Amino acid sequence: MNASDIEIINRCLGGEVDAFGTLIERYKRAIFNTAFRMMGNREEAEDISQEAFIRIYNSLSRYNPEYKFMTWALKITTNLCLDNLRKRKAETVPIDDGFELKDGKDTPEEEYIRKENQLRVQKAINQLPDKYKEFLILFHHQNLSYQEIMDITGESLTIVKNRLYRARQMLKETLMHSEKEDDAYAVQGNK
Amino acid sequence: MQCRETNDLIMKYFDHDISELEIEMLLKHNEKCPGCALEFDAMKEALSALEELPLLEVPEGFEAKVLESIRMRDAAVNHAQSLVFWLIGILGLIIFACNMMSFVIIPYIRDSGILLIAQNVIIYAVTGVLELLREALVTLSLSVGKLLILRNVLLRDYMDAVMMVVFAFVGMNLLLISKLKLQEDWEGLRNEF
Repeated sequence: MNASDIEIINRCLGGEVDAFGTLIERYKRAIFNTAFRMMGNREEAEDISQEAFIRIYNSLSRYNPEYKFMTWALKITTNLCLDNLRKRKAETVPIDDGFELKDGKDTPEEEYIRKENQLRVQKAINQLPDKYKEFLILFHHQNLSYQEIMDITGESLTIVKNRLYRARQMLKETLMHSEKEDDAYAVQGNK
Repeated sequence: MQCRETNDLIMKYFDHDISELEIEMLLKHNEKCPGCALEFDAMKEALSALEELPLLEVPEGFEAKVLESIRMRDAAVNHAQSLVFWLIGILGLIIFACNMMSFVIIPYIRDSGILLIAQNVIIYAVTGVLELLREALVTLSLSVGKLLILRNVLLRDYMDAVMMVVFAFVGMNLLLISKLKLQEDWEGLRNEF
């Protein structure tokens, strides 16, 4: 049951399609959530995650066991996301709030505030240029290390650090800006 | 410590790669510098919000959908592969047949004289058939001539017979008439006496 990734991959390469189900089970959450945060939209995230797993399956023979399977899988996923983001440039896509974890501890008011806050963050992420968005999500949402991000994006440490620095600044500014706008609306509303 | 150095420490802080001493230095600087403190707080708020975004549950049936797509693609690929194998097989067979014809069968036939024999047989058969046709034609025309002659003969005999019957009939009548006349003459003479 707890076979290692490489054992499962070897079984898949031997023609056992069902063995791939275990790999999907292990990594679907990380892949789906990365896709969701990159695209900001549940439907697209699901399509991209499916496509990513199909691509992973088809290129299993090219998997290099030196890297973690997760890193390799995320590389394929983020590349797909970037391709899709490039294609949809002109279109506007609705943003899902992605809020679904209810622990029952919050009052309805707190829950509303939390939901609003998450929506604001997702909107801010969506506004970032694609090449910055990817680094921010991988580091701060998926908690990956610099080395893993370097493996996924194929960029040098300097570029990864640089992009992450710029991305953090941009996110902070976008959020501060949207906060100010919200306050202005609130003041207008009160008047 | 300068603000520029603090900026580096802020980044190290969010990289989770900062020592206790460095955190202390950062916080100390922030106490004195409201600009850096604001920068740090705003960044902390933004990144905590990002880090606290919930992990979503993957839609139900996700694995099944992926496995189904993989199986369908595999099936399509297998189908295409088997088609290609069939085509290659048929092509191979055709090439093999052509080679056999041009390098084995035709030279063998040419060298063994079968071709010459076949040619003669065909000529003989054609000549035979033509001969038969000619004979049939001649026999037919002869038969037709004979039939015509026979018809003429029969017609003549028939006419002769008819004429004989007519003459016999006329003769019989004349005989009867003369016999009646004699009888009348006889009765006339007897009455006179």
